[in-house]
Amino acid sequence: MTLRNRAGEEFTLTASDEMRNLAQLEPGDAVLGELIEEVSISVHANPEGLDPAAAAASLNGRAKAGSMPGGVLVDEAVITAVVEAIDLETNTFKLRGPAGNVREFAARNPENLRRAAVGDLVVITIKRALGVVVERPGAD
Amino acid sequence: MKFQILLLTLALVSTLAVADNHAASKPAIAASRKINFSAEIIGGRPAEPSCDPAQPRWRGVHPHRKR
Repeated sequence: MTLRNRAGEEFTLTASDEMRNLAQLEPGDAVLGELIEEVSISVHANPEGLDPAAAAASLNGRAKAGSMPGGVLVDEAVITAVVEAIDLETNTFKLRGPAGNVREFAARNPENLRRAAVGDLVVITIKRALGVVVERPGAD
Repeated sequence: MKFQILLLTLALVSTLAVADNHAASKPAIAASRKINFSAEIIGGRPAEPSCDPAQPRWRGVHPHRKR
């Protein structure tokens, strides 16, 4: 289907086989969507010596057959890493991830390095929610 | 009884304050964004049969035709 956004730009999308109610669409229908993304990173003391881990979950739904197309997708991932090293002189730190890989990062705020310690657990949470509906102008 | 409730409340507030201090002592950061978008459907066409016998149908763009 070909769409035109508010800026007047046209683009063409190809519906996947999973898309339902495609036959309901007509030129002039409005596709409305909202995407929400949230990322949080927090450092915690790790007295129990927890190892890095990762987990993800997702939920999706779509409009009933016969109605206007629409769908929602929500997913969340939580990744933990362990602080392997902190270098205050170079303002860098190393994290060990769930796969055992160690990677070095530069701290944006050096003060954060002083408040963290080797062995701390870094918890990274990524949330994403996407909702799309199709509405016909003038219809209730 | 009222005194016990007062003590319990104080203990709870103290515990929460300590927990908050602990939480604040370690670095934490969060960021989020919300994107709204809208577009008007101006045309479309159904999928057509594929020229590749291995594919049940092609998805909107013919493999031998440029966009």
